[in-house]
Amino acid sequence: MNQATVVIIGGGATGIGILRDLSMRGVHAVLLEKGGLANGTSSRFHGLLHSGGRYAVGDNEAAKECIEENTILRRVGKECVEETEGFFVATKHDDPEYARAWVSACERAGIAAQPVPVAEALRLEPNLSPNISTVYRVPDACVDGFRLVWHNAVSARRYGGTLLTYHEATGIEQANGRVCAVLARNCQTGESLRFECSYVINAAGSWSGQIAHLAGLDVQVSPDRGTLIAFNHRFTSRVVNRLHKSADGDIFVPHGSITILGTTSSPAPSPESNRPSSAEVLRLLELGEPLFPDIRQYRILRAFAGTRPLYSAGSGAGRSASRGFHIVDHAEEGLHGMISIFGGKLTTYRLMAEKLSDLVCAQLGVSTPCRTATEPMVRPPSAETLAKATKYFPMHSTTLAAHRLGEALETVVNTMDAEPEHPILCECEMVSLAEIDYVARDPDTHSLHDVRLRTRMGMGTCQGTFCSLRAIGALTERNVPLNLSPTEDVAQFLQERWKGVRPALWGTQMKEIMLGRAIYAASLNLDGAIHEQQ
Amino acid sequence: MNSNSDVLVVGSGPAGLFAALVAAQRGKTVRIVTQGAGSLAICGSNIDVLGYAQGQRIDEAPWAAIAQLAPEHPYSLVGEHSIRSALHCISALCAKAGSPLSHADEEKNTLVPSIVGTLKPSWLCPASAQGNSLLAARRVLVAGIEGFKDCHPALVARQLKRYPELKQASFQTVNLIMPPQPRKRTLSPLDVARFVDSPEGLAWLCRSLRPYASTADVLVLPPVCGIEHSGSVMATLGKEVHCPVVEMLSIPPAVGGLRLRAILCRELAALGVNIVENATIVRAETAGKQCLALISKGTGGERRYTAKHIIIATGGILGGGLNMSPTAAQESIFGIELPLPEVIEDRSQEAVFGDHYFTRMGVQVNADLCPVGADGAVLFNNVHFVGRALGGYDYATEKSGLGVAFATGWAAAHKV
Amino acid sequence: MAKIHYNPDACIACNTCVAQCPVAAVNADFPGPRITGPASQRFRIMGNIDEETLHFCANCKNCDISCPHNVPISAFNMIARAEFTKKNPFSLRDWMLSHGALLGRKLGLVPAWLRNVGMLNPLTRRLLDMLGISASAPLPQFAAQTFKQRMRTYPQPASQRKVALFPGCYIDLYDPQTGLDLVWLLNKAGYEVIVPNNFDCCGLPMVANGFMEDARANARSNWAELSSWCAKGIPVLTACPSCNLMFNRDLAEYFPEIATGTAALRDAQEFVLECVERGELALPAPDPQAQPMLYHAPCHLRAQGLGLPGLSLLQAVFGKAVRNADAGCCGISGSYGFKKENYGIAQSIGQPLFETITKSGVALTTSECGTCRVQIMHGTGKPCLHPLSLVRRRLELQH
Ligand SMILES: Cc1cc2nc3c(=O)[nH]c(=O)nc-3n(C[C@H](O)[C@H](O)[C@H](O)COP(=O)(O)OP(=O)(O)OC[C@H]3O[C@@H](n4cnc5c(N)ncnc54)[C@H](O)[C@@H]3O)c2cc1C
Ligand SMILES: Cc1cc2nc3c(=O)[nH]c(=O)nc-3n(C[C@H](O)[C@H](O)[C@H](O)COP(=O)(O)OP(=O)(O)OC[C@H]3O[C@@H](n4cnc5c(N)ncnc54)[C@H](O)[C@@H]3O)c2cc1C
Ligand code: SF4
Ligand code: SF4
Repeated sequence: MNQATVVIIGGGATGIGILRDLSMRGVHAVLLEKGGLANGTSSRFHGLLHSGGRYAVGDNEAAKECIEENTILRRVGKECVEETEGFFVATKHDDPEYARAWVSACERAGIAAQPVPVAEALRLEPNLSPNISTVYRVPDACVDGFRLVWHNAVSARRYGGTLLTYHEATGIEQANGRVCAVLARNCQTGESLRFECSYVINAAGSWSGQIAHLAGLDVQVSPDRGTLIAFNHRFTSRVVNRLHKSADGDIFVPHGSITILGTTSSPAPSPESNRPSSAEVLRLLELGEPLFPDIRQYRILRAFAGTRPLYSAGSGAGRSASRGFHIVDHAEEGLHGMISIFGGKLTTYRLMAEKLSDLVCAQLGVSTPCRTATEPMVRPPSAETLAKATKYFPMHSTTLAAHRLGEALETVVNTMDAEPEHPILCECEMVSLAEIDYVARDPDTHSLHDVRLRTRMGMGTCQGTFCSLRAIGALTERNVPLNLSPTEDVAQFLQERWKGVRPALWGTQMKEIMLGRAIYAASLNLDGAIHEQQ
Repeated sequence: MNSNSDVLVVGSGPAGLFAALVAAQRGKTVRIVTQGAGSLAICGSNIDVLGYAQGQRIDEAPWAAIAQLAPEHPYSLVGEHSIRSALHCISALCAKAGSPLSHADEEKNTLVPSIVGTLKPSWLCPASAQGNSLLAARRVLVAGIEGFKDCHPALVARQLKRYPELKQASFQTVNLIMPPQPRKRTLSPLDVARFVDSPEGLAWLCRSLRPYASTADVLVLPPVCGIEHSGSVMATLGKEVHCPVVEMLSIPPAVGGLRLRAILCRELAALGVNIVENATIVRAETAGKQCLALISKGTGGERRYTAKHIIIATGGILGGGLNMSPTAAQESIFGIELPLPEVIEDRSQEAVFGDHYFTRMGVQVNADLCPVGADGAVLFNNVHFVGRALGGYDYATEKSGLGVAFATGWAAAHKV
Repeated sequence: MAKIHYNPDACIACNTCVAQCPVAAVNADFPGPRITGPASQRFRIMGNIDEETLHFCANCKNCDISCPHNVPISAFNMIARAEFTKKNPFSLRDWMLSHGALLGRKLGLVPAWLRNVGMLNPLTRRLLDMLGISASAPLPQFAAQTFKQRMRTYPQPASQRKVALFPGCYIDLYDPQTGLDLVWLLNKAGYEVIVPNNFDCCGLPMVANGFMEDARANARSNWAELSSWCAKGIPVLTACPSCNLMFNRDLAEYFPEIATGTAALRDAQEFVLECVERGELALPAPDPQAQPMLYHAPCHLRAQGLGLPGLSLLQAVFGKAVRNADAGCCGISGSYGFKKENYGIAQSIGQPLFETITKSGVALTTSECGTCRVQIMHGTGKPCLHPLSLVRRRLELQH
C-alpha cells in the first residue's frame, strides 16, 4: 500500500514546483504524471521567461509577478535560463500611442524598458526589418521548460519527494467530505495502484477540469490551443516582441540553437489536441514577416502546439490568488483536502508553487517557510569536473552539458574517462553517448522521447534522422535497461516528427522529410519491417 | 563548338549519369551539367527494382508485379524490355570494372539485411555478397567495428531474429577492433571502407574475419569492403576467409553508392563525356515544342548550352528537380506546373509511411519520356525526363529507386 | 556580410559533402565539412565556440561542388576562420603565406637569383620550417623578371580589339612564361593585351589564412579596377582558376557590398575557346603523333560551374592523347600544403592523383593552377604545364 501526505497530479512545471517546495518543507509528497516529465504544456510552450512587458498594459499585476519571478529564476535556476534580454519593436505601421502607454505601464510594473536607437538595434539584430521605427530593451530571457522541470525533479527527489511518471490518476476517493486516496494506473504495466493521502493537488494544467471531475467537482476549464513554429537556426539572439496591442504570432524567442515563433490562440476540443494546422503555420509566418522579412527563407524544423487552461472564473467557488493564476480550495464546495491550481505562466511556476504550498502547509500546521526563492535548484559540477569535461566535449557544449546535467556531469565525465571512444551521437546538438547513456539509465527515463527532451538529442537540423538510430543501437549494445527497437521506436520518432512538419510541407523542411524517407524507407525498409518482424 | 553537343544531360544522380553513359556508348557527344553530386553519393549500391506492390512484399522476381503497375508508373511507360536492358547494361559495366553484380536467384528478389536489423527486398547486389546466403544460414555472425556509431551487432541480431525467415538461425555477434589510430572523429563505414581499400586494411579485415569462418555460415558486415577497390576486396575475402560475406545496408555517408558512382564516372571520363560541375540550370529557351538551349548560372554570369536532345535528370524534391511552395508545385527548369490539392493537409496522409500524394508527385511524360501537359499534349519533343523527376511512383515505399533511375535513363538514351 | 551567410538552413544533413572532402578522407581528426560548416554555424551564431579543428579545412571547395543544396560550406569555414584569426595570436607564417604579392614586391628590389638563393637555401628552409613552413614543401621559385616587367618590353601588334589581363600572383612572380603564352595566343587571335597596373593580389590566400580584412581591402580596389575596364567594354581575363573563383564567386559571398554591378573576370581558357568559335583563332587538327598526357582539373576550376574549357582546348589540338586524370584533389590548396602541419595531409590527398599519373606512364601533365602544377611535379617528378602553354607549342610547331 502506498501512502503520502500529499498526492500531486500533473508533472508539468506547476506540479513539479509544488513537489519540490513541499519536499523542501518536509511534507511527504508523491507526484503522479501520466506521461513522461513535462508531458503537457510545459514542453510545448514558447520558452520565454517573461519580463512582464508583454502584460504591462493589459494586466499590470501579472506583469509585476513576472518581473519578480524573472529576477528570482535568473538567480536560483540559472542553468535553465539564457539571459538574452528582449526587444520590443514597433514598425512604422504600429500605433505610437500604444508605445507611450506601454512605456508608462512598464514603469508602473517595475520593468526597466530602455529605448534603443534603431541603428543600434539593427546592428545587434541584423535580421530585423529595416522598416522598424521604435525599439525598447527589456529584461526578457529564455527558459528551457523541460530542463527546469527536470532540475526541480532532481532537487525534489533529493529532499525525499517521490515522482512517478507514466502513472495516470484515475480516481479520487473521498470519505466524510475529505479526500482520502488517489487511484492510479501504471501506464506501462497496466497495474492499478492506490495512494492514501490527506491532500490531493490538482496541477494537471489543461487537464485540471478532468481531474476535478474525478472528484465529482465541476471546474470550468476549457483548453485553448496555441501553435508555435520552431526554426532551424537562431536568427535572433534576443527575444523580439512586437510593440503593439498583443495579438497572435508576434514573439520570437531564441532557444539554444533554434528560434521559436508564436503563438496563435484558438479553442481546442481537448487538452491533447496538439496537432497544428497548416493554416496556423501560414498565419504565423504572415504575422512574423513584418519584423523578420526573410522569415520564409528560414527553415522550419517543426510546428507544434500546446494547450492553455482557460478558466471561466465565477463558475466554481474560485478565489483568485492573482489575476495571473488561480488556486481553488474545493473545501469551499464541500470537499476538504482537494486543491486545484491552474493558469499562470511557466515564468511564475515557482510563485504558484509557493502560494499553493503555503496554503497546504498552513492547513497541515507546518511552519517551515518557503526557500525556493533563495536556494539554487541545481548543484553545479565541480571546477575539476568542468576542466576534465573540456577534454571530451566539442566546442561550447561543455557549458551546455553542465547546465543540462548539473553535478551529474561528473558521472558522465567519469564514464568518458573510462572508455576509449567518446562518440558524439547527436552531431546537430552535439550530445555525447555518455550523456545519453546516463540519462537513459535514470529511473524516470522510460523512452527515447524522455532521453531527447532531457539531452536535446535529435532536436537539431536532422531532427533525429541519424542520432535516434545511433542511440538505440548504442544503448542496446551497452545493455541499458530500456526496451528499444529501431523498428518501433524510430518509426514512432519519425511519426512524431512528421506530425510537426506535415502542416509546413514545403521548402527545405520538405527536402528533409524526403531524405528521411529515402533513408528509412528506401534504404532500410523500416516501413516494411514494421509489418514483417514479429 | 564547345557548348553544343548531341545530348545535354542535367543532373548527375544515377539517372543522369547512366543516361549520359548509355547515350555516349551509342556514339553521341554528351555533356552533363550538374549542380551537386547527386544521390548516388549517399545511397546504397543494391539496385532495387520492385520490392513492394500494393503494400505486399514481392519475394519472387518482380516482373509479374511490374506488369500490374498503373499505366502512369515509369516502369509501365518504358516497359520490361528497357528495364531488363538497363539492368543488363549496368551489370556488364560493374563486371567490367571488377565489381560484378548479380541476383541471388533469377526467380527471387534478394532479402538484404540492414544496420538496423531489417531486411529489404532488392534485385541486384554485389555478386560476392552471395545474396540470400543469409536466409540459408543456420549460424550467422554479425560483426560490427569497435567505436562505430552507426552499426551495433547486438541490435542487428536481435532484430533479425524477429523475422520468421530467420527464426531457426543462431546468431553470434562481435565487434572487430581496428588497428589503433589517434582520431578525434568517430569511425564511420566510410572511414573503414577507405582503410580496407589499402593493402594493410584488407589484410586486417581478412585476419579479423578468418577465425569466424568455421563457426558461422555467413558473415554479416557493415558496408566496409572498400570503395575504389571493392571488387578485389570482395574477391580476396572470398579466397581468404572461406565464408560468404554479406554487407548490410546503411545510412549516409554511404559506401555502396560511392562505388557505383566511381564506376559510372570512370566510364564517362573514358567515353569523353564532359561534366560541368557546380552549375545550376536556371531556365530554358524554348520555341514551340522545341527546347533550344538551357541557361546555367556559374561564375561570371550565365552560360548557354545547346543540344539536339535534352535529358532532364534533376531528381525530385530532394534532388532539386521539383519545387513546392505552400501554394504551388513546379518542375524547376521549365516551370512545368504540377497539379496540387489546395489544402496542404490534403497533400499527405497522417501516417508517416502512408500513401502520400506528394511522394508520387512529378512530371507527367509520354512513352518517349517527353513531358506532357494536363491535357496529355506533348510540351517539348526534344526533352526527356528520367529518374525521380518523374511522377507516378514512390520509390521509398515500393523500393524501386535505382531500378527506375536506370530503366528510364536507358530508355531516354535510346530516344536520342 | 550578407545575411544569408549566417544562415545554415539549406543544409539538410544529407552528408554528401562528407564523402567528398579530401581532407576528411585522409585525416581522422577533421570532422568534415558538414560539421565545421553548417552544423557549427548554428552554434557560432550562439557565440564563442572553439574552432580547434577548423584549421584543417583547405578551402578546396569540394564540399561546395558536391552539395546538392547550395550550402556555402567553405564560406562558413573561411568566415569562421577569419573570426578565429582575429581573436588569436598573430601567425607570421600565415601572414607571409597570404601576402606573397607584398613580399614579392618588397623582395623585387633584390635580384631573383639572390632571392631564390635566399628563400630556397637549406638554411632559410630550416628557418622557414621553424616558422611552420614545411622544409619538404615544394615552394615555387621566383622568376628572374616578373610578368609585369616582361610585358613592359614585350612587342605586341597594335589592335583595335583589346583585352586586359589579370595575371595573378603566381604568373606574375613565378611563372611569367604562362602569361606570355596567353598573350601570344591572344595576339594571334587579333587582340592587343593590356596589363593594368592597379590590380593587386585577388585576396584568396588572405581569406584562406584568415586575413579577411586585408582581403576586403584588396577586393575593394580590385573590384573598382575591374569595373572600370568592364565599363569600357574591355574584357579582363585571367589564366588562374583561383583568382577567377575569388573574383566571381567568393567576393560576392564574402563582400557583397563590394561585388556590385555586372563586372566579371573571365576565364582566359574559355575566352580563347570562344575566339576559336568566333573564328578569330584557327586551331590545327588534332596531332595524331601527340605524346599522351594527363590533365588535372583544379578543384577551384571545377567549383566555378564553367566546365573545363582548358581541357576542351587541349582535346581540340591533341585529340585523345590528352585525358582527364580525374583522380581528385592534388592536395596543395594554395599555401595549405606548404604548412608544416598540413604537408603530410596534402601529400596523402594527392596520392591517388600521383599514382594515376605514375601508373599511366605519361611523360607530361597539364593543369591550369600554378600551385597544383608545383604539387604534381613534386609528387610525380613529371613536368606539368599550363594548357595554354601546350596549345601555344602546338600552334608554333604547326608553322
Ligand atoms: C502555446 C503556449 C505558449 C506558452 N508560452 C509561454 C511562455 O513563453 N512563457 C511562459 O512563462 N509561459 C508560457 N505558456 C504558459 C505555460 O506553458 C504554462 O503555464 C505552463 O507550462 C503550465 O504548466 P502546468 O504544469 O500547469 O501544466 P502542464 O505542463 O500542462 O502539466 C500538466 C500535466 O498533467 C498531466 N496530467 C494530465 N492528466 C493527468 C492524469 N490523469 N494523471 C496524471 N497526470 C496527468 C499531463 O500529462 C501534464 O504533464 C505558454 C502556454 C501555451 C499554451
Ligand atoms: C539516402 C538515399 C538512399 C537510397 N537508397 C537506395 C537504395 O538502397 N536502393 C535503391 O535502389 N535506391 C535508393 N535510393 C533511391 C535512388 O537513389 C533514387 O531513386 C534516385 O535518387 C533518383 O535518382 P535521380 O538521378 O533521378 O535524382 P538525384 O539523384 O536526386 O539527382 C538529381 C541531380 O540533378 C541535379 N540538379 C537538380 N536540379 C538541377 C539544376 N537546375 N541544374 C543542374 N543540376 C540540377 C542535382 O544536384 C543532382 O545532381 C536512395 C536515395 C537516397 C537519397
Ligand atoms: S573546402 Fe575542402 S577541405 Fe574544406 S571542408 Fe570543404 S571539401 Fe573539406
Ligand atoms: S552541406 Fe550540403 S552536402 Fe553537406 S550535409 Fe549539408 S546539405 Fe548535404
